[in-house]
Amino acid sequence: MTIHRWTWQSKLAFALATGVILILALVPTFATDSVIERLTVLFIYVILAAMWNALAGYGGLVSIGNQLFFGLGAYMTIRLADAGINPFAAMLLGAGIIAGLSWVLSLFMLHLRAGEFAIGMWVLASIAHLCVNLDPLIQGETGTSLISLNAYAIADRRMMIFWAALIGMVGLLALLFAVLRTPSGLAMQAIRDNEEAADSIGVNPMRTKRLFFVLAGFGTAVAGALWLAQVSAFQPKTYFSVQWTAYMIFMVLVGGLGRFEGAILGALIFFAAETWFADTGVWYLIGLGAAALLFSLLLPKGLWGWIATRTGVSLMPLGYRVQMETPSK
Amino acid sequence: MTNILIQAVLLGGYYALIACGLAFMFQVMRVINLAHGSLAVVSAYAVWSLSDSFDMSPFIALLAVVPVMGVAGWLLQRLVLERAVRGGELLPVLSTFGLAIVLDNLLFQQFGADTRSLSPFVGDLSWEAFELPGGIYVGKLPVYILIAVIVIIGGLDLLLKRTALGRQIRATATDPDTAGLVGVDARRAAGIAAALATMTVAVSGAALGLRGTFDAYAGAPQLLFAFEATIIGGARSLWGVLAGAIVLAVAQSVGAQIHPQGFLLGGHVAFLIVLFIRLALKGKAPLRLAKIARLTRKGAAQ
Amino acid sequence: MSILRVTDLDVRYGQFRAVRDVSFNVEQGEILAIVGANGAGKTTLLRALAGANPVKAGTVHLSGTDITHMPSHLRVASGLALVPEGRKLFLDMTVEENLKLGRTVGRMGDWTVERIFETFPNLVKRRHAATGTMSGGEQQATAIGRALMSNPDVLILDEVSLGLSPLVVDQVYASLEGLMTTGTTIILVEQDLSRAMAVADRVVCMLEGHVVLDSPMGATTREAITAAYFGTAPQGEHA
Repeated sequence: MTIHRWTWQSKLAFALATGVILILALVPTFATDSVIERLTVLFIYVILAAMWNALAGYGGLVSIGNQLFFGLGAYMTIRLADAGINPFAAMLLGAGIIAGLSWVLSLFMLHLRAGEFAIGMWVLASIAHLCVNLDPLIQGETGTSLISLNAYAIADRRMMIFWAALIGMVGLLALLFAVLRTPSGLAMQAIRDNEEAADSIGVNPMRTKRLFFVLAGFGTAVAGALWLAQVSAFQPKTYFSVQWTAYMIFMVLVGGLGRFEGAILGALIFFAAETWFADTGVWYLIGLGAAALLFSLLLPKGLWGWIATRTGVSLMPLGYRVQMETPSK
Repeated sequence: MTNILIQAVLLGGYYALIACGLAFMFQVMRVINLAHGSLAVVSAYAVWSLSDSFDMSPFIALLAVVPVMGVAGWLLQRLVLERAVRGGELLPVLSTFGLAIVLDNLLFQQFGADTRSLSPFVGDLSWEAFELPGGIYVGKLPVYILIAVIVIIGGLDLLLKRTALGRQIRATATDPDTAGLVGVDARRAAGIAAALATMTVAVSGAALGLRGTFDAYAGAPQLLFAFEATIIGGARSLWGVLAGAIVLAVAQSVGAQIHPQGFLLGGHVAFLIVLFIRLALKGKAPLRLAKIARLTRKGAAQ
Repeated sequence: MSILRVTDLDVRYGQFRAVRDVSFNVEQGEILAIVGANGAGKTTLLRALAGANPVKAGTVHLSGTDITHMPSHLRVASGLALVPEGRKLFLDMTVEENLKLGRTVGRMGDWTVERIFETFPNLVKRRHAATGTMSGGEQQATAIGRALMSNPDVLILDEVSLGLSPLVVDQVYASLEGLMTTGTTIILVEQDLSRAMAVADRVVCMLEGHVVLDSPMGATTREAITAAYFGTAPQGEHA
């Protein structure tokens, strides 16, 4: 009996993924402006999905308030840039500050039960929205923009934001992957199934949940900062809207809750849906909501979950596989 | 000051009205229905449509809307919540959230971006007031709403405590498996409870429209108010919800006194404080509060 | 015709077969004792009879009606009531409320709240107490009373002596004595072999999900039952 982590499919997928990332890095050198911009948006969606999935799928913490981190990440960036820090540095630093804030929030939010936690996060997002509105720099709902970014020429700006988003996405995914392979990460996947059981084998549920809460906070804040860089305008109402959570939920539910590959798949599907349907107005949103509803009831493991259960395929070597030796005659 | 307090109590009455359905569903089905606010707005639009099309009083229209919403609640339980609850604690949150998005946007699709109100249909009632000693005026409508919520909460409380149906609902809430073994049709009890909850939601939707204006996306703030009132009151009894709702309204009024934008923040802050205290008392927040609470209890026991 | 007919019953937890090909009949007015070690499948079997566990294969007939896939509350309405293992009372409700719940199906019969209090006099002073505050013996009495309130034709008792002191168990069985003479069909699971042998007309012994002994009490011995219990008997002892 042998135990291994990598299957041939996962090795292949890993090689392919590395190749894709390298190609993507070169994209700005040959692609059109709109392609660069759209891909940046896709990267941000992947981050949002992966981070919400980390929290909900692996940590069992469903939050309807991740727009809290999204908006605050953008807000912090504006504030730091206003203080004179280079905008790209401000994005990273701002997200770091928000990570610290998430740590503080986790001290009491993580003690809430499922439904309470979900709406509680939404309440926090509302509070953040209201507080940000009070900042004279933001001018209430009128908002402001990341002015210092205008120092860069538009073509350069577009490329730098693209690379920032690519690095952000790959970095966060790698970080998530690394965390999931550690004992804590396996623990998290165990906790998802049974908290008492996890507790009894010496796994500390609270510490692992906190880890994922802070990671999700950091990652979502990075996404918010990147979005700000992409669109430059900051209106609190847009960034703190619960619609972002609706997007995250759609991506993760359709792609596959608690599956690494699922979040990426969900982001791709959402991106495609948005590209084709966004101009149908509210029908697009109705479709999103209906999809979330139907998937949660009928296919709760999402598309990737369905594929994985059927075929046993796992592209990301996150678990252990036991292979029985077949006796030879 | 007294005037502000009285107005806050009346506002609390409205919050209690929207909250009691949410709390009732939570007590019985252990589900926080994120579509709760949206259902209230659906009811508001339904009452508005009937009042507008047939030139009738919203109160008459409500008589038709309430049973329809009751059926909707029954269907919600059977088609969505029953399945969702089987999937664990997380799934109902996701399902009801998806439903809320669908409802909000369907309303927008149907009714557009204009805000509506039920005030035009009740004529003078929307501004008439009782005069209290001391020259304080209380609006008749808010008073009626407060009376309504007291009647509804009292009714639900009596139902749960004194009737056979109430016992069945409580048994289903505690242990649906054993309830079946005792002869209670758990699915039917849950469906009836959901119907009762949505019927109160219908009334609160009408109250929303009578008190002010609403639009397709008004559901989310209503949900947050209902949730905060429920948590502040301690989701144990329905009367607690009334108390929590009044505390929320008072906190909001206090917040508004402190800062022009402070109304909503005041309520949120009160919510956080109550949450914090409750967690600290359970020994769950890393504060000295937990230690103090333990020592106080020990001291009291001696 | 037997009032309860169980044929080739197969009940599973996921992949695990807890009850395998179990068949037996119970006659009207009979008292059947089901014995067996922990994990033999007794509680799973009883819950399947009551409708709390789904049945993978096989049938259950109550008074000739096929109830195999009937939901539990309808089985109570048909006359089959279970006193579950661990009592499973509604702890924040009072004794009287728990009893009244038993009346939900509205079957005709002699059992009323007052008659329950006559049968279990120790409950009278606890009438309005929340059952979560009561002793094990009082809770057991309430649980039995609750099941009786549905005026069942077949009453199933799952380990009524669980967690109770011998004296209290004596009291519970004393109260059941009267019941046992009324002609109600009773199936009881009992760990204490002496007690089972003292009250039952027939005994079924289970081992690892199978029935390994099925005999009228008079036609078998303590040794035979013990052997079947531990699996040291020659297989297939049926009488």
